[in-house]
Amino acid sequence: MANDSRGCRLLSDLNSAFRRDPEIDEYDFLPVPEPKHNRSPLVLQEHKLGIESWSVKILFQYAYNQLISWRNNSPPTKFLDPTELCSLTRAILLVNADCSTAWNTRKELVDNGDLSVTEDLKFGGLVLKKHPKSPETFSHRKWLLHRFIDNCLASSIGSNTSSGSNACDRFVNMEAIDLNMDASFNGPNFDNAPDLINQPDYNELMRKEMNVCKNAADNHPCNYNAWSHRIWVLQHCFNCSLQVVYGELHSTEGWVTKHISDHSGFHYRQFLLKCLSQQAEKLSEQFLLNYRNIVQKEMYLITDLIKSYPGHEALWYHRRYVFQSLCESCDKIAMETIQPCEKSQENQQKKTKLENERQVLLMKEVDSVSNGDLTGREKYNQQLAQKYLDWIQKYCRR
Amino acid sequence: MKLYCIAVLHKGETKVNSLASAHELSPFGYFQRSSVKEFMDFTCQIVAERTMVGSRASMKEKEYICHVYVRSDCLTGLVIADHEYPQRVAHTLINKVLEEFTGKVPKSQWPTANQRIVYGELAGYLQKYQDPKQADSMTKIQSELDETKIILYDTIEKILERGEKLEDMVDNSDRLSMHAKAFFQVARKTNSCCVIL
Repeated sequence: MANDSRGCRLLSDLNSAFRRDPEIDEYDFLPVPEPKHNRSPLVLQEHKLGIESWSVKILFQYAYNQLISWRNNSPPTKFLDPTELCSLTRAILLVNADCSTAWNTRKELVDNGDLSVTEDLKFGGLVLKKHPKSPETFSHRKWLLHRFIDNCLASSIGSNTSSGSNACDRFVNMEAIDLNMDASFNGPNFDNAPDLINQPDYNELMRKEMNVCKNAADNHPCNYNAWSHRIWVLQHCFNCSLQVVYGELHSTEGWVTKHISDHSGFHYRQFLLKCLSQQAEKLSEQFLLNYRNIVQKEMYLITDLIKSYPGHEALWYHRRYVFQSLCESCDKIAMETIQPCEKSQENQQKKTKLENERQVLLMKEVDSVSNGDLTGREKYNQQLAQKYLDWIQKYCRR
Repeated sequence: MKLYCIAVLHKGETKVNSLASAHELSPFGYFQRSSVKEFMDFTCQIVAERTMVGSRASMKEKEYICHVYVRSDCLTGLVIADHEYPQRVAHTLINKVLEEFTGKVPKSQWPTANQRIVYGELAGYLQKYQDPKQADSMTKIQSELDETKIILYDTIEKILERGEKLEDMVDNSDRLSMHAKAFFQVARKTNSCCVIL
């Protein structure tokens, strides 16, 4: 088939482009529906790769057919060496980032040592530039990161200096990762500095991963897949370390301020706050931070954003979460300090005091939201405020 | 929350003359930037042509909003932003730019001068006001802005004349390059969000 030879040639052109410039960091399809000249449809400028659109389908079909035929063990493609498999899957994924077969082939290449984890992470980052939401790409990254962590742990077992602790403990003790945060936030030194941070690239790789998530979130509004992946990295690669979580709260504040209608960004902050709430004791004992103050600060932030940028639903929804957190924090203190069955006068007084505090919190909130200062004159914002007040009434009847 | 373009034009009796403009193209793909810039200029042109003298409007088109003010002396300011950027700040910025431009370039030049006019501050404003809080320094001008007078349009098509279609205008335009036109067709077909129109 004529297309087959064209496809073959296109693939080889693509491979040369990547060979010529291993630092390609962006690619796109150029609106050229018909081939106009006899030259290659690839354009390479300043590490950006352009592919004329007429050639995309031909290239994809050729690469895809080759790969499937190889998997089916069909004669012409029975023996493809790893380099060829690498370039076929690369061509496929640049066009269709959600082709699981291609990603899975790359998993096999990684397992066989023909492709490095870092190389594949880099390639995935490139794919995300054009397909910032691709679920299969993010899924593949999780597999790669697992591999990376396994490799790190495996190579650190031999050099374990703290006797008696198993790999799991070492993984859990990641609190000591230094993340260049506020000078005011200097956590205490941990005695069992885990071997994982001594792995030269661990921290850097994970930081790069957070950056990939951020870029994908920049490139597509409400990019739930990117933010979910970011949460996953926090959980599986940083083990929700308080230092990292708090650092993330700090560093994403600027982002949400510039993306005020991005529900996913605010949802990420809700996750961070929840992490902090679950480790509130540790937060105050070891880092001298009060969880309640952190939530209050978030309330100030959201109030400021609502005032400055009226009419954005995401802000009001985030406010619901923050207010709920304040109430729960109040309730938690109540449960800790009051003995429910004790009928002493002191206990009763405590109970009343805390109930009053809850009431005051509620009334203050209703007041703030009803105040014209917060809602402004913009009609839609007033509607959102009203919905919020309706929600509070329902919430407090629980 | 982004600002993409600020432009100053003169709405003459028979034609609209482009005087100065600044663009922020980094949010767009490398290969799309030149076409996007052409489309922003094209949009400014057709919006200025179809907005009445003395009126203020904000027109939505996909994820973009084009804010325009045609002053009574026909000096026209436009700002293209995303839907998060506050309308009030965009119009205040237009006022500020028009005021400053009037001081710099004599009225006699407006109908005929073209982009040879040097108004370097415009690029600086585009950068500075990416953060609308910068507008706090403009609060005096802000309070003079009557937001109720801003006409809102759901799409740019609303300001086109009867029978005018965007696709035809793009096709027939002698201001757009072949590359930009091809870009528009593709984006239109895929309903992609990279195009102003």
